[in-house]
Amino acid sequence: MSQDPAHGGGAAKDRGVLYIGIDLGTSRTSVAASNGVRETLPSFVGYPKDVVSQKLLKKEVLFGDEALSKRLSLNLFKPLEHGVLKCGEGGDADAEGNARAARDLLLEAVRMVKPRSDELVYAVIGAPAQASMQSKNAIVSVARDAVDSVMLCSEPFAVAYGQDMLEDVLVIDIGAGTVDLCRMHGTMPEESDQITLTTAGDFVDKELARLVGEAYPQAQFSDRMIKEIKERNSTVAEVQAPILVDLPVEGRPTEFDMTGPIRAACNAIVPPIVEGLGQLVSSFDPEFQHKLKERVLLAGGGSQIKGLDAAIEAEMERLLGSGRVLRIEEPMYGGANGALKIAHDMPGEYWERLK
Amino acid sequence: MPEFPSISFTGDREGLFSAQEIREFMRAECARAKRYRYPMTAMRVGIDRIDQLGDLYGYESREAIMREVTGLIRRNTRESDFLGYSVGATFHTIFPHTERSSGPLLARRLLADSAKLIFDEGSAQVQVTLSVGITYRGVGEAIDLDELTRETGEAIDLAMSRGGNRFEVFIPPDPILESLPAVGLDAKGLDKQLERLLDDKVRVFFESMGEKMPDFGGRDREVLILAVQKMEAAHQKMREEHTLQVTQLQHRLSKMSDSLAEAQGQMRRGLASAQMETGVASIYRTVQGLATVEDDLALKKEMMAKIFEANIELRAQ
Repeated sequence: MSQDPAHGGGAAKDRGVLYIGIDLGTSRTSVAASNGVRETLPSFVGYPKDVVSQKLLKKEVLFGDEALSKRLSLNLFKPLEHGVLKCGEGGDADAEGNARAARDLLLEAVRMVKPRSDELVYAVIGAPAQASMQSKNAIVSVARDAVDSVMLCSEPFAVAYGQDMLEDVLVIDIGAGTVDLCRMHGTMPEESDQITLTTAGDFVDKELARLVGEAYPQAQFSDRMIKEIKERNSTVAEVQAPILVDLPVEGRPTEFDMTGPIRAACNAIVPPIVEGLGQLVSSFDPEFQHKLKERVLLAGGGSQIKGLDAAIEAEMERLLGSGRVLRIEEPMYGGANGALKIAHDMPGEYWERLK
Repeated sequence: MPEFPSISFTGDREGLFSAQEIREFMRAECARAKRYRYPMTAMRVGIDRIDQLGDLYGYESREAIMREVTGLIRRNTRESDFLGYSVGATFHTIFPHTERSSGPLLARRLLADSAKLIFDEGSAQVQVTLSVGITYRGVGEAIDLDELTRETGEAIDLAMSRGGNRFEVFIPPDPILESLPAVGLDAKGLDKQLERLLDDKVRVFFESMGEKMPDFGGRDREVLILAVQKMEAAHQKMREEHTLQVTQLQHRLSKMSDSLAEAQGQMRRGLASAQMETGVASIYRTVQGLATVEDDLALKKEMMAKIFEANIELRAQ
């Protein structure tokens, strides 16, 4: 990580401070800290439904996989949707519960990186590229209870910053709720440099559920089952062996060939992404458009879809004439790593002023 | 130096023993050295071409040279040493309690000092040189005066025959070589002779260890052969171990060389990969020193400031 003592960096700046980068995602929350700890958990928060459940579970709040596995005894919250807090914009009946869940989720994320009791915790949280002011404020509001100082930054920008790819790069960050596209051109990206799509992981789930329902109407499945099938088998590439999955039919496990539906559902996100890229490319300086197309950074959990880089390249070739896609090394932590790097590079005086 | 009253030489040679006297003293000193077990060095010093010089420059000149050389020897010896001379203008000396190395040292000193003895004989200047013969007896060695006399005589003869102005140390002949008859020994006879010599060597070995040679029951030869075989076997084993060590070292060198080549290859690949796109973006490129982060420092500062401003703006709303 780069340090600049003249700009408030250096060892003295870091003393007694734990920097953390948080990727507060719709599906998963990942956190990376300057003490070397990295953790990730599904963005689910559960509270016991009643006294009996609480006595049985022996906990007041459960997170992630544990919350999902005990969901029948819990009031389960998934506090983010399309990359933003549900409590921020919706104002529905569950707004209070989602706000509480988001706060608890962030507290848990901070707890997981094990800060010392005497350490100040400074966090950078990645937010969707085009999140509204209201939703950003909602995130800051809940985060301030969990950390000593907090900043938000654009999620795709954090990914690019983490990779030190600050110039002539197109970032595709595929999350569960949104696909963020960002154009990096050696300066801080502006509104016009970013596009947020909702054709993301959750969209693939819905598409897969629809295709499976159409192909195998007798099969019984839930959204959760579809999500698991997708995460285990997602691909847009040709596969040698068919993807066979057991689904219950009138209570009896039955094997279904999911190859077609999975490939079709995953492929569904490619055209909107390339279309968005096309917009960012075409609105860029024509002299540098070719350079931009040659450096497309694919990040986020959705980048784990097998063959997606090649599929995007092929679609770019077809629509834009050329394209070269780089996959990020650690899709799960790309945003958190970048946010951590920003947190670390941020001058100490800025952190103080935001307390 | 012990005084002796009956000096029978003409001229001024006080303090020197006559040939007969020195022989008596030497004999007594030999007996003492044997009894009290101390080393002894005997030396004979001769003036090169002294007879020719006498013939050339006269008797007086010869006597003057003899006096100067006597003084030179006296200056270079201890009070306790015995100094005399014999017929033929050679000086006999014995040095009690003198180690083997001291004789040559003294001889060198005498030769060096004699080089400074230059006699002015009218129109010519005469340079005197010496020849020195030395022999030695260590502690406990048999000392016989006649032997010493003979040995110093042989040594000085050798020095003179080699041109003079030098010293020679008497080297006793090798008893093994001496014991071998020069001619008329067939293979069987030589074999027996060698057996006897080996037997002597083994005996000396045991004696040096303070032990008496054990009785091998007439099987000395077999014992020796066995000993030689054992030694050869031990030597062979040692040689094999050394060969093994050398082989191992060669293997280790080869392995190190391979590792070095591999490391160099990795470095080359690492350097090449800094310029190569792998299709995967990694934050570890920075850690590995493959990214040019320093170039972006100013840009990053600017970006940090903008993020901060955006957050300030967010709070304000």
